[in-house]
Amino acid sequence: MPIIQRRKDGSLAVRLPHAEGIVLMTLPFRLKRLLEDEKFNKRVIDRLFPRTYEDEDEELEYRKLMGEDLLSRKKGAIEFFEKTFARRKTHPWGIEIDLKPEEVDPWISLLNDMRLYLGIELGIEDNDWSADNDLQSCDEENVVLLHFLTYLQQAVLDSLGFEDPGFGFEDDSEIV
Amino acid sequence: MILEPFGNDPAEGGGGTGAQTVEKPETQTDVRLDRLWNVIVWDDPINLMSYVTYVFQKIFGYSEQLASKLMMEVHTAGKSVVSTVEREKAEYYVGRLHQYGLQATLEKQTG
Repeated sequence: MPIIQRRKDGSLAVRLPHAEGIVLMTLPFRLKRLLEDEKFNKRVIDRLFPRTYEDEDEELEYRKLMGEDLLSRKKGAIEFFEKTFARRKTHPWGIEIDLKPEEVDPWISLLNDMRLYLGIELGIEDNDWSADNDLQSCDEENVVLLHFLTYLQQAVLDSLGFEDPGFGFEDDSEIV
Repeated sequence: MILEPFGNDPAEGGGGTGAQTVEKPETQTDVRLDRLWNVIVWDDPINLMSYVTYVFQKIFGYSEQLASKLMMEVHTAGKSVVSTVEREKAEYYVGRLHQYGLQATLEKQTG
């Protein structure tokens, strides 16, 4: 059974084994902690809120105008992600989350934020990170989680017709 | 509450997946050149290529072909000018790109 099933109305069914569902449910807590404490990981904050202007004064002015807005949207996305899990259906084989068409986009975006967070934590700077043997052994838990989120994000994108030219996994989505 | 910023903005021509498809990067010509800013997207090793293409289509309403071309330019050249517009609109676009987790900056157009 594909993990992503896209319906004709544009909604998605995300189906995951119990263990993988539990892993996903921990994501909001990790991201909230990150966003509530800038000192928690400055590199991650810098990546999620990158500079816009090279000029320092222009950057400060832009941050004053846009910084809070971006932060509140990121927090809103986390709350939204939690809500989609709160209404999950539990089956003997795992959990099922229904995403309305308008919920698919923020859901993918949140998965991406979490991937960025893990990637920076792991110090990834190379496009071929998935084949980097040194990386695989340095922080096993985060490497496994990053691979899982990459797989899940690509499965959602596949279901929307966005195949990745450089991605190694087979399509695990289905349109019904 | 948080869904609107992702796909329902007037600057996208009505927003969402129903936005009009654009076949070339947006470049305004009806204002003085010194008022135009390049929106630049930079390569990074985490964002999936398919995700970057998806975001370009979502934000700018670009066709699949154009979005893929710009994504490949980011991937191979390290960066791509994805839009050249007035400052206010350019800042809006950068804000949206940051919201999606892409590395984007602004640069005043020269020449």
